[in-house]
Amino acid sequence: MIGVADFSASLGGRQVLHGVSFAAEAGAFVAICGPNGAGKTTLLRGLAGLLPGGRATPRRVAYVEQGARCAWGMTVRQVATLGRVPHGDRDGAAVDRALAACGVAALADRRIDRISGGQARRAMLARALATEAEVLLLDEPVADLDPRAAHEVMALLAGLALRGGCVVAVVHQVELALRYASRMVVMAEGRILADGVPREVLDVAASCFGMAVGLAERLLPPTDLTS
Amino acid sequence: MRWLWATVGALLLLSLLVGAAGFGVPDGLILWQIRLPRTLLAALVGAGLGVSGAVLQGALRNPLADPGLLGIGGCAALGAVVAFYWGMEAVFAPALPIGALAGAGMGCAVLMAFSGRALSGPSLILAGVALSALASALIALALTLAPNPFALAEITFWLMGGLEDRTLLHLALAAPVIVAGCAVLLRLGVRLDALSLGEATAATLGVPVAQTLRLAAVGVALAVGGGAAVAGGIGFVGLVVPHLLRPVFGERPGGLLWPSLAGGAAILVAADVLARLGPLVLPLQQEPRLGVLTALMGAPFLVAIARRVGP
Repeated sequence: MIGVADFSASLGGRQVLHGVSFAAEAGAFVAICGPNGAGKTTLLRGLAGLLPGGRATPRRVAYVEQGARCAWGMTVRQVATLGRVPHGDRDGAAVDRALAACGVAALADRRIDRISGGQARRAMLARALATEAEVLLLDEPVADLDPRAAHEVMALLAGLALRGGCVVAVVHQVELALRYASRMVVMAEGRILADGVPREVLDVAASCFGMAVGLAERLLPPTDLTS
Repeated sequence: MRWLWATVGALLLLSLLVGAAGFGVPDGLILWQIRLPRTLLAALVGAGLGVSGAVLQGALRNPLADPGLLGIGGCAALGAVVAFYWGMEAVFAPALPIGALAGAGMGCAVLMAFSGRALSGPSLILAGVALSALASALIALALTLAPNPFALAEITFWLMGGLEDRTLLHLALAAPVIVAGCAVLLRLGVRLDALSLGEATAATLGVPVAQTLRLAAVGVALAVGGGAAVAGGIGFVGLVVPHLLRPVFGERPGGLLWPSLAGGAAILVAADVLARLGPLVLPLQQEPRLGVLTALMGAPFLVAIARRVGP
């Protein structure tokens, strides 16, 4: 559905991705984990067609950048409606569905700079959903959300994947990735170190984040421990 | 929106009824040759400045952006100064606005060359600042070298902006340029909305960012350059108008374009009426300069905005 093969990229003369191959199919919720500077954002930008030589495919791929914000005090509905720009319409029904899916329908007429950070983040997600793209690329969609909101957003993304969407998200919270993602990609220093079912790549993820393996085991959801 | 257009209409009417002779319906010749060109020019120049300010603030995601930032007004002034310098204006009256228009056009070309191929907001701002500095330096150079001892006084006066003694010829020169600029700018609404999420996100929404910035710069060059060619330096309108309208029309950049066009026209026509009222109601020897009035009116508005913005 989306992918890159033997993909390298440089930022300011420094190579940040070394021949990375990555592909994600419909129905997958891929969590990309790894320490800062691993190349996660660059990989996501490459998938979005934002790197030199790339081309964005607006109706097919929706991208939410890290710390996405709106420069003006537009209403939540106005922001979500921007997701319709690739279609050249203002399809109110699609926007309403996206707002409802992200739990911000009640905030539709509030200004995005006058709601909480977590609510604004979900409004940005609604903007991406309103495009009704096949692929969602999200850079840290649950950063700076409180635990409950983070769980809600991750569950929402998992639900989208279950219904046939393709979600690729950079996630720093390994425990959230373990619980909700269908696949986990661990990156470090511009390379993919491990790629597979979250439980199976946990050790690699743990060592990348500097956690003792035994500690990481305890992060596994209880259901997984019993199985 | 309707009340805004009604305000513009009322101000246009008022402007036709106020002149050096006082209030009232003037005779046909005065109305046609003096009041009408002046009124329409004020409306057009103001409309161009207003919509330019709204587009630049939206495209650069910066509430401090002003059409003067791109240096086009400075280049128009430089063209006018050159026309003064060689005394062309004395031989051929329209040399001044034509020189200013040529200066604005050259400024636009230089701006595009300065800002390079991979155009982004910051590169456009830096190119504009460089162009402004260049234009100011060349104006200063022309003034110090001016052979005509009266040039300095005349140019200084022109740079302060004004619309007195403008004719239908000035209107014919400036109107097509300003209207073309506004037409370019008014079509950018959806792209400006998308740019409020940042240039990268706008690109993933299918908005050609560099092309949009280039169109914004060209549109502003036409709308502001055409205005500066006939009205000289008029500041603050482009900066203040979008700020005045945001509380009423919301902050979506695309939704501010038409209101800013109408608001700019209203403010400049009002300022020009005030300029003409000056000598009638106050013990003034002559009209205050229009650019001086807009700055005097604009500064308190900006102070009010600054106090509201807070930390």
